[in-house]
Amino acid sequence: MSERMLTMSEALREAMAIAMEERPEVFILGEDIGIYGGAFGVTGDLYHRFGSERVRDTPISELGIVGAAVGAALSGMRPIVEIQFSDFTAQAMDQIVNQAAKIHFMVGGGLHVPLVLRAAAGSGTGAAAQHSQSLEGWFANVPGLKVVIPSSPYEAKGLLLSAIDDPNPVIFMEHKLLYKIPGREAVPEGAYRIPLGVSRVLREGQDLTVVATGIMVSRAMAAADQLEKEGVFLTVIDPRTISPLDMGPIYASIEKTGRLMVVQEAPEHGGFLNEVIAKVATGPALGYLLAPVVRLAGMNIPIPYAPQLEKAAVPQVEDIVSRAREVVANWR
Amino acid sequence: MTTAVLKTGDPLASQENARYALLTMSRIRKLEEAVEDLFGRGMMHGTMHLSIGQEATATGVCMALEVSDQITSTHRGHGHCVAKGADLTSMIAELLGKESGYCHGRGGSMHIADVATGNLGANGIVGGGIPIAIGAALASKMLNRGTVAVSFFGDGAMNEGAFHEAANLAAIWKLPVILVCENNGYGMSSSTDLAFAINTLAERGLGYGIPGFTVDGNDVAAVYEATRIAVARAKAGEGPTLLEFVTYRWKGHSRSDKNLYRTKEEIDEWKKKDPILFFEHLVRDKNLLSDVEIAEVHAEATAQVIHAVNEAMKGVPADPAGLLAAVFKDLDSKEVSS
Amino acid sequence: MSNFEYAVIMPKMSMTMEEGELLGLRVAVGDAVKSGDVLFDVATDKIDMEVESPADGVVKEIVGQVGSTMAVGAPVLILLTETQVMSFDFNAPAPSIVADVPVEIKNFHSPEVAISVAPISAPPVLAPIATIKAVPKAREMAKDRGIALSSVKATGPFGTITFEDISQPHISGANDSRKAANRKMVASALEKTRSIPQITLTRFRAHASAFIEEGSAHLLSTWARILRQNPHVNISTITEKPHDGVGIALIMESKYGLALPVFADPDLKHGSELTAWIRETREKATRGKVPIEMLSGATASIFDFSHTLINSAIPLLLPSHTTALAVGAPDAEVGKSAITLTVDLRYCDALEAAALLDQLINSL
Repeated sequence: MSERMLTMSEALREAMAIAMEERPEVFILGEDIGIYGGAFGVTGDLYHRFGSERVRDTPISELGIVGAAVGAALSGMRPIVEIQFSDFTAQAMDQIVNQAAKIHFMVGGGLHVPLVLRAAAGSGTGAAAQHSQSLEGWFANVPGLKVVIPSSPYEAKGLLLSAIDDPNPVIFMEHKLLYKIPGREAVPEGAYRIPLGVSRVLREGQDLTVVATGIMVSRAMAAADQLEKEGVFLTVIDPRTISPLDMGPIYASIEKTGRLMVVQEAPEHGGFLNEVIAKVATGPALGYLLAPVVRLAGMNIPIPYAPQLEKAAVPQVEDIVSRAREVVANWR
Repeated sequence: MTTAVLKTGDPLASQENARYALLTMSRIRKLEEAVEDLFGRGMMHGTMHLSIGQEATATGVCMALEVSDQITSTHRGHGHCVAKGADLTSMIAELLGKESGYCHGRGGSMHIADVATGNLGANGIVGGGIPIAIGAALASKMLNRGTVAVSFFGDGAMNEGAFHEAANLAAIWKLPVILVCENNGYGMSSSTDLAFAINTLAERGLGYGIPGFTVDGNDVAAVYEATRIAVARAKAGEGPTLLEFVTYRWKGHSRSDKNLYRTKEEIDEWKKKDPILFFEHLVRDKNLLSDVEIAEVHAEATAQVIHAVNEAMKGVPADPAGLLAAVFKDLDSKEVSS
Repeated sequence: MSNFEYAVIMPKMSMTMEEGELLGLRVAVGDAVKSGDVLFDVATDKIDMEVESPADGVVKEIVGQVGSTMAVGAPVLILLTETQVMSFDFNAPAPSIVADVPVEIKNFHSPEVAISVAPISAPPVLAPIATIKAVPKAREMAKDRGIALSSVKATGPFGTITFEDISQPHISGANDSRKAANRKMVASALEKTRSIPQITLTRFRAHASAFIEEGSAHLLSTWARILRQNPHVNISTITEKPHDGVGIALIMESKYGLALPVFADPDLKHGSELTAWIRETREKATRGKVPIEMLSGATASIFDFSHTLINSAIPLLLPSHTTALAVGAPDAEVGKSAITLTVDLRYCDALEAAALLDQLINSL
């Protein structure tokens, strides 16, 4: 077993390289992914390794890029689209929502769209309102799309390889703050696949179940480390894919802890975390609740610019710590 | 037999080709008349967009294509579907909401696709199919398939961003794609005079480095010839061509259209330019088909459509039980590489 | 050469249209018409429309009455046309699918849509049904134990009863006392049988699995068949006479503690029938409702621990019973399961008891 600690960029690049070696039909297209190596350096040297046909630079043309990827996917290819900032998916929405997501269903099953759309998401870089959003909830609300949110380099590599295998369109939301940070976990060399639609329990504690996605997973883990010293024990669950969503481990954990906190960076109103809460409220675990569910999400505002404003707009480790402490103390 | 084998070649090159071109146009028209009748009787659901009057473009373009060449189509796509060789019974069954329809009742008129004949699907979104055709052409190029992709779209779609982005990608990557604009004069009720400040829509190609041609869309032989040249360019690696076929839809945009934006005189003028009558005159003059043979072709088309409707009616209504399972394609073993 | 007869119908113009009014005719019988000529005018729920001739021809007959309302699909007039017009009358005006919302793409010219406003009646005044706040798990426990939430002191935020509040040792629910009473009743009954001379034998069964899948049905019917073949142990100790048929009490959990419903002649039922009967009875017991006809008539009892973690138990005879059987859970490593039989020595000696136990294990 290898003990390599990679960054998420490196892990993603490794996954794409493996997929391109395995399958001639896999190719990448996007803005500045060639010689430039990608706006966040994810494609890196792939252009030199696989050439300009398979690591295909495009004009700034998101609708055209995604549409071309849909057409190529319908015709035997397995494109990976890189969208520099997930905010720019708005430019390509028709092709994502009306075309890619629906073609297999509406034509009666004769066609399918094996497409992966990778996009850099999230705040924390000072890029302000149009370059910092967490839009995964949009896509989770469209039947026909799978939505993956990797929380670490290890997860990113295994999930991306599964996403590329998948015969359906997969939206792959990468938090840009995770790109450069090594994960807590070693990344094995070679191919391994993490199936889409399987939640992962990262640690178990008896007092509170925390469901978190993306960068909030590492914040929840940091909060759990702190609270452990005070004698408050958290279970942390990363659903990894929010569509499809694996609620089983979440229900099972609530049975043991009786308390639930859901954490996301996206604004609270209409956010994906509400779906988790709704499933708990209408599902088999309701009767185990000892306390009201805690919602911890981004403020209902566009992401602001100044560092202190930006930090205040989304949940931080200290927010998770204080809300967790509070709910465990108040509801016994 | 309701499926036609796609035939490639000049509609005027032989009696056989002339007969095929006339039969295809007649099948499109009869099919759409049947659709209009069934809708009028309340047996069809939703709405419908008829292409009666535009049969020559679909027919002429598809006669320049091979079965393996791909098309993307539009909301007014029955003609493209038929001309590319689709099965009439499965089409009608789909419009009747039957399980036996092309889409098992899930798509309806605007979403018929037929993988076997290279039809990547009609599209309910104006301009939606254009970038998809670019992608199909990209795949053809990357896989060295030697096929071309044709995107049908209307004049209205040329003002969508999708057209511009797709045209540019097609040009810079020199893709084997043909952009086919069926200019029927109106985007729903907006006339091209109101929606464009250029003389011909083919001029739009210049801005992308794509040659553009304006052609009489009601002359099936002219449509064929223009497409043939575009196909030859595409297959020679010379990149995309923009073809503007000027035509006219006789019927309203959809069923609830009261034709307030155009005059009866204008419609009557265009009916005189009926692509089917025009072609009949042409083949008569060239001694390719006699009056009797022409009547036989129409009778055959009529019989095929009647047969298709009767067969489609026998189908069972689409079953809601399978809906949830139909959203995603299952991951089968072939999909996972070792 | 007008060869084809074609009925021009009242057409469906919009998704919601079911009938239309024939406003007026533009043609008369004998008129020659061209394709596209207006034949008649129709008023619908949304718009007024002109209906055009689909082909060149001659008007043969007028069917519709001007001013009348006609159903979609009803013929308005008959044409003789020169070319065959596509026409399909399947005598089935009902569409195969019915939409409850109009989905048609509308013309930009806004159609005249009449919106009728339904009178709004005042909503009924509702009395609050739950004035006591409690977390879901506390409510569930209150229900299980028959605790009145009004008797519990709330210490949680917003005056909410927490799980801790309801778990206080001094709180007892109505069901708690029933459970206690039930426990005492079973205990005092067993006290009466302690003076009876009895023997308890255990034998292991190999390759055993839990009986829970079919809800102890196989065990129950096998033991019943053996008792039927051995009338000397199928005796009610009160009457001291062989029992009519076989009755076995299957011990199970109920809302109020243990319940002992008696299954009469279980060996005469089909396996699936018996399984369903047991399942049904278990459900009833959970709700605290064992059928009254199942409360008496047993000569034997079975305590099935096979689906628990208990490997063996010594069953005690219940009053009036001749035998008692306990089945333990299979040992996790070797799959052995202990079956323990207690018999009333007044009706069955130790060797006979051993033979019965052998017979049971061989039959299972």
